[in-house]
Amino acid sequence: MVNPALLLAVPLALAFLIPLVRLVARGVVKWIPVFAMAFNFIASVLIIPRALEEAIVTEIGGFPAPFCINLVAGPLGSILSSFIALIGLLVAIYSFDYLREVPTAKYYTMYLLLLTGATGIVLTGDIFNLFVFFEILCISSYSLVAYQGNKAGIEASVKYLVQGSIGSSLLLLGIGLIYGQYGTLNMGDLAGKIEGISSPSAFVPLVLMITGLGVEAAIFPLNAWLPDAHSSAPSSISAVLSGVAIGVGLYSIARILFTVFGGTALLETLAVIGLLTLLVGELSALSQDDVKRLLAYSSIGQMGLIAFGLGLATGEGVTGGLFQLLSHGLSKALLFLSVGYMIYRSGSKKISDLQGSWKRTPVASLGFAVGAFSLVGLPPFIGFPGKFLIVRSALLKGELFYTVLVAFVLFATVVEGGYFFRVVQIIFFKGTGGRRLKREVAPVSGLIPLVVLMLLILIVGVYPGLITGLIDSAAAELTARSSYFTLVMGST
Amino acid sequence: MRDILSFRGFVALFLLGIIVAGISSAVGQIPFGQPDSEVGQLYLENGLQDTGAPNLVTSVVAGYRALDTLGEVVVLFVAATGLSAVLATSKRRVERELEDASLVLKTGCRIFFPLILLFGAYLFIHGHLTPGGGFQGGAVIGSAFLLVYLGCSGRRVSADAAGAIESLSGFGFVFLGLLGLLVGGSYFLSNFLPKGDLYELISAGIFPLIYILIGLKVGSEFAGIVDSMIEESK
Amino acid sequence: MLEAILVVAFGGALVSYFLGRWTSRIRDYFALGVWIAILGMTSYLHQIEPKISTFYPGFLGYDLSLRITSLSWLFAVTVAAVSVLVIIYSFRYIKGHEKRNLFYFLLLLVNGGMMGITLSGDLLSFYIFWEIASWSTFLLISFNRGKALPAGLRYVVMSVIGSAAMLVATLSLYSSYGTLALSDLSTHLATAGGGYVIFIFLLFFVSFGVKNAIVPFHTWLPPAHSEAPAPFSAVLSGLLVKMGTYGLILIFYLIAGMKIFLGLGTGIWSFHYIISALAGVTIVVPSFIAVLQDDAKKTLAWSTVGQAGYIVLGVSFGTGLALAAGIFHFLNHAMFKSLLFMSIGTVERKTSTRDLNELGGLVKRTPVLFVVTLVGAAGLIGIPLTNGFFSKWMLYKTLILEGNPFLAFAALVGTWGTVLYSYRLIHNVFFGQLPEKYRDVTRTSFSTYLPMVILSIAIVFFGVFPGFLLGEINVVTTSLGFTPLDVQLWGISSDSGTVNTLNILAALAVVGVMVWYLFRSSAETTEVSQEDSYTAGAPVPQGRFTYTADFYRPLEKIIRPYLKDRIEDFYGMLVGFVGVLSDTVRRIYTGYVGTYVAYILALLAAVLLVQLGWKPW
Repeated sequence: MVNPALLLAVPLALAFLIPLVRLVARGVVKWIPVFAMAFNFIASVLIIPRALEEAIVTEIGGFPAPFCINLVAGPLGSILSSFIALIGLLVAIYSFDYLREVPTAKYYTMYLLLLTGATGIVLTGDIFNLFVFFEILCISSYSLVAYQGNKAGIEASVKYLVQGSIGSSLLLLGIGLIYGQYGTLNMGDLAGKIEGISSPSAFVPLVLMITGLGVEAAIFPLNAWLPDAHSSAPSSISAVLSGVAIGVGLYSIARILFTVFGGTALLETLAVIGLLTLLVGELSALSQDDVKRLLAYSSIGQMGLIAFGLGLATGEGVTGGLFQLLSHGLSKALLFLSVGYMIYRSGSKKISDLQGSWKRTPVASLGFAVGAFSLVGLPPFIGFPGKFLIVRSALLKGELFYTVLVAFVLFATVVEGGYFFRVVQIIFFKGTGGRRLKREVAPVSGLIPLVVLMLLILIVGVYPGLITGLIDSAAAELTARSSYFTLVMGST
Repeated sequence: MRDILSFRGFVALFLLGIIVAGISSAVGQIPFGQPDSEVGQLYLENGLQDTGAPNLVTSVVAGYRALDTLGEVVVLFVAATGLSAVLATSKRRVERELEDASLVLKTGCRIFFPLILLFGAYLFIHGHLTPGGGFQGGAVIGSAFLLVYLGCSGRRVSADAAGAIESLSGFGFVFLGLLGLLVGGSYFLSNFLPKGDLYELISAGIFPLIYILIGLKVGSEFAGIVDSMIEESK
Repeated sequence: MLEAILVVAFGGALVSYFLGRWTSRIRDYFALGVWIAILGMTSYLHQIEPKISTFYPGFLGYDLSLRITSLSWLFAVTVAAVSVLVIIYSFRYIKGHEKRNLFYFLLLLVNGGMMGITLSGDLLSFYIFWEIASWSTFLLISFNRGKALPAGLRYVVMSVIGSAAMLVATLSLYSSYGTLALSDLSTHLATAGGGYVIFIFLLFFVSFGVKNAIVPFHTWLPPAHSEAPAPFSAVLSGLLVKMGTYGLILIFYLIAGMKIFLGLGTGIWSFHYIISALAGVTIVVPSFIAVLQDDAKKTLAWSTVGQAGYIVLGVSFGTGLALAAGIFHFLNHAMFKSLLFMSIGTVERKTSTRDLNELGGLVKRTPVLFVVTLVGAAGLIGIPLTNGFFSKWMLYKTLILEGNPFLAFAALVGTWGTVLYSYRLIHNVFFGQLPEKYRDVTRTSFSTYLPMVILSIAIVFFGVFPGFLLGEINVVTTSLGFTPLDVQLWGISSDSGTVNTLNILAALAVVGVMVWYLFRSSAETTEVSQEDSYTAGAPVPQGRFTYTADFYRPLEKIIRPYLKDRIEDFYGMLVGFVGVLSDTVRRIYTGYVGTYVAYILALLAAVLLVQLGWKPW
């Protein structure tokens, strides 16, 4: 059996080794993240079947439950960690030649640590530990956003840093209040101790934590850093930030809200905020002329959709939200990677400069189309089941309120279609106009992840049953609070 | 003053007022002064026995919550790497005239540098017995290198050497944890070495090792940070 | 069998793409082979017992199923037949174009999607195939670049709106009844309240109305049809638009059932009458807008809107004869409109223009094209002995019989418009002086003519023997609960009168003989060249000497003010509104960190405030 701690230990150890390896054998460095993520992917996939039977709880250091930090690899944790590892692996392969011109060892170190931080977040069963991994995730993202060293990147990074630090402080403040009140930091223990969220002693820390996490999860109005950061980062990093990092932020909100606090009273608010996020994101994306900014705003919208799904609080709504989390991750990673590939050739992020990409970079153009169609929710791509599940569970609630919300969700879909289809047209059906390109060739290694992602999007889109079973039990884990308590604390 | 009286200032004050009221309403319910915290109580009662470290802070930092510590080490590592990466790639370099340090600083630097290093080493080697620990010791060592940069212009830390130490000690930390997984009852970061006699230097199992590694790592990291910032301002 | 059809259709699309990267000739024949096979398989299913088969158990908790009934067979076989012809036509048309592989892939995908639509046995499969057909249509419309891009965008946005409506209706049905199978839903909806049924109907009507281009959802169609590549315009107009018709029949008569559909409201405020009235508007206005177009394909596109109005009028009017007329007209329209788009496409390919004011005199250069276009136009107008005559006759008949003079008049007026634009089309393209630049227009290849010739033969054949199709349609309407019509091979009879091609043939023969005799007895004719125009003694100008520009100027002066497309303006306003909204919303992201921090604190404060006692909800 694979100990879940290995999912953190192995990439960490390898990340620490990168500076050393660089001194010895420079060429090996780029293989390290690939190796680490491949290991993580295989290990997490191996964990999944066992986690489905019963969540694997492992105590770090060997002390009993509330006194040490534990890792909980339930269905949700193991699915998300394999998802993170998968995206990480693909993007690492993509980075092989993409970043030929800048110092790479540090990039790979931070990249690997970012993913390890995300993995830690989804596996940990302790709220302070969650904070620590969040810091790893955030700090590595701050520096990766500025990695290209241009003015826009540094400005975006500083803005991100300011807002992210405020978020972190609020999170820490919330954790401190919780510890003061309940004397424990363990999620399972807390789940047993917190009985409702009406008293200020529970509500205030909850709000502080959610606001803090909401900054990373790109919930409106906490998401103002995102368009700058995601658009000025290197495309490979944008893919990870959009595909993984914000999703992980949303996961932690769900974990805190559902498991730790059992805050069903706040779910309606979450659904409304999610809808607002969706509308704001999609409407802002409509009038962008920078393609990466457009994708960044679309990420905001998608986060809103996921939050909406989670806020529906029915088993199926949560399933839909989690499904959409994965589907958005795959699609958005594909979009950023394909766009990055086109930008690599054309040297410009403007949408109008993408024209004629179909002739120059057919695979990347196809990737963009697949990703865009998937996000709009067209069958047979993976975005369709996600959107479908969310809309269905909202309608199954049978309340007029939710039916109206669904109307807004679908309006946002139309807007989303509007801007994505426009870009698809420009990529496929506009001539090159004889523009000079920045580079004549682009690395072939970048195409492997594109093809893999396209296939995944198509296959899971056609057979959503491949993962809906898993996600169902993940959703059950998220919503069943008492069983989480017994799982971690024993049956007492 | 005019800023605060403006509309924006008023809004900010209003928001802050609500937030402060909210937080204080929660703080008001925390039973300060009473040993209510179950977990904290247990640390106090069982810490010495469980870990063999008289410094209870150490038993929490390196024992009960060792994963957090590993995480914090990573945070520092990321911050240092990120800083040097951003500084290395950003194109704007300002050429500046450097003034030589004064005689006092130069002499003091030569005398104090080894002493500070020694003190730092003491802090982390002795961390499981007396107040101190890896982070503190490492920070002290970092300050020694800052002194070198201030006093002895021209001398520099070898970035490669600092990186290598950083890398090795970080790896060592994780490796210790993995050894624990392998040897000591299948728990990551478990204290698999014998606890030894109380108050002895070599006691409390892996704690001194962890602290030494952290100390080395933090020290070399700070040195590296100082180096890359000086490099930037040159 | 049903699964096999879809596997062949979608597999064929994929394989033909990869084949095309290797050799284009084999790809062409492979694509043709695929659709001939599908046509064969579909025909084999003729009058098979209605059956349902699950082809994908457990897609998100549903069993996706396929189903064949007489109704779906009729649509499926039309799709297959027209697809085969269009693929043959594409051989030549698309040669020399870049992105040929993409074109074939998408064309086959659209056609496969339409097969899926007609064969699906539950609303979810219907939706999935519908969406696949929609997005591939979008790509095909945008295929020609330039003006095609806004056309494609307009199509796809309206289509997404329609799909959203369909999704809500579908899922609402599911949450009410727990099933989506077409056969089960009909029993459930019988017990539903009238308000709920109208809600469902309206949502579906938006979706199908967009596809079917019923006023006020028609604005996407004219640019899309005129800018798409010609073979695809044929598919679009002949088939894809009519998927909306299929959907309407499905919802009105199969799922809801005739009784519910006709029982919503009374008199002119009943649901089906309102839709019929909309269809009436859709007949009249677009038919006259078509008269005003200078662009040949745009004329045909507006004509498609108008003809779709006839079809929807038939479908929504609610008698057996009307429904039969609607379905018949759908079949006829698929024939003559595909033919016309193909022939105008050929003209455009030969002359690089489709401006009716530029063209002229092609009759001698391309006589076959002239003949087939003439047959197509005759069918479109509904001249006796072409198929269009019968469907329109049936429609007039039932409108008059049921006492609906307004709708009958609307249908009649629409036909006037049809006559006008069809004549102009024929005249401006084929008659008059041949402009210098088209002197060397050559005849086109066999593969281009073949589908057009087949279609024109079919138009005449079914015009003479309408019974072949009416028999099939009769089965369909009977299965939907109407009393069977009295159909013979030569025509149709009803309580108030009979139409019979034998009589028409006889009358025509008499007239023919008379005309022939008249011409014989008149003065002898001489043959002159196309350029030899009679100018009453004045010198004959070189170049152009036929008056094709401002063809219907007096008429145009009268009707143009009434035909301003206000609906289009309205949509433009909506789009502008969304644009303004978007710009406003975007300003939330000011670019100042200070504002952003204030947002964070504001949210925190707001939520805390709610908890601390101020509860707005």
